[in-house]
Amino acid sequence: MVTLSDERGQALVIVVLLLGIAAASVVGLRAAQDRIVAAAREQRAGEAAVEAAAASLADAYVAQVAAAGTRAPESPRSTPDLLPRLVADPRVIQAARMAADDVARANDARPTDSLEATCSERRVEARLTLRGYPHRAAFAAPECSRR
Amino acid sequence: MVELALVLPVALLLIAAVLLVAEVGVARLALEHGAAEAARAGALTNDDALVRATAAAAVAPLDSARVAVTIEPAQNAPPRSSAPRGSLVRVELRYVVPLPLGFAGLPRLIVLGKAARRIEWSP
Repeated sequence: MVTLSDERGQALVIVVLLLGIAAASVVGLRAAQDRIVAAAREQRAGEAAVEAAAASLADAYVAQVAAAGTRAPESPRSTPDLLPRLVADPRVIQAARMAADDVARANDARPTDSLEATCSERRVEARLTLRGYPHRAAFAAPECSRR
Repeated sequence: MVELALVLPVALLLIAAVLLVAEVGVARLALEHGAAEAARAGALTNDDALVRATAAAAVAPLDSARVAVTIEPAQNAPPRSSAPRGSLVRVELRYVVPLPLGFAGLPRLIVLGKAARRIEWSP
């Protein structure tokens, strides 16, 4: 008790307090960093996943246009309702979701929560959510302006 | 005075630890960003030199000369050498954090950043 009440004891208390603050700072900084880096990684994984989904939709579109060209070589362009049917096809959406999930997993993220595709305003847009964050990617499709 | 002499080295060590943790945090974020940008470049082009240049530019404020870049698969390896569209390209960045007392035999502190993207280009 005597040592805590004289000047030497007070210095010791202050130094111990400062050491505690420094140790707490290290632990707190590390924990905050982990959260920030995890959030950044999820964000990047979501971007990569939605681009993969949009690319998968584009691949399906090109495949269907090519198939239509094979069936009717004189008019290989798509029919006006090809894209709306494409984005409503559960198999196409499932393939896009699998592509997105593959990329999400490769980026150490969880699989996507949801994926939907729309055909409007002259573009096909893929929208997905990953851990609650929405992500979008699109490609130009003039056929979509007809609806 | 005696207490101060006893505690000062520990206090300095903790201050150095705070600074080091902050530096590691900056490196982790920079490497995540750099890896994501490099993977994006790898998804759009079949050019490892461009992927490395993208990584080097994106890891600022880190010294890009200390960042090692690994690209999988390599430019001339399958599937990138044949029909890669739809497969994944992975980029890993590795950075050795310069330690203030590294010369004293402290273990090297290595920070990693990695990212993967679906390859978009076709030959």
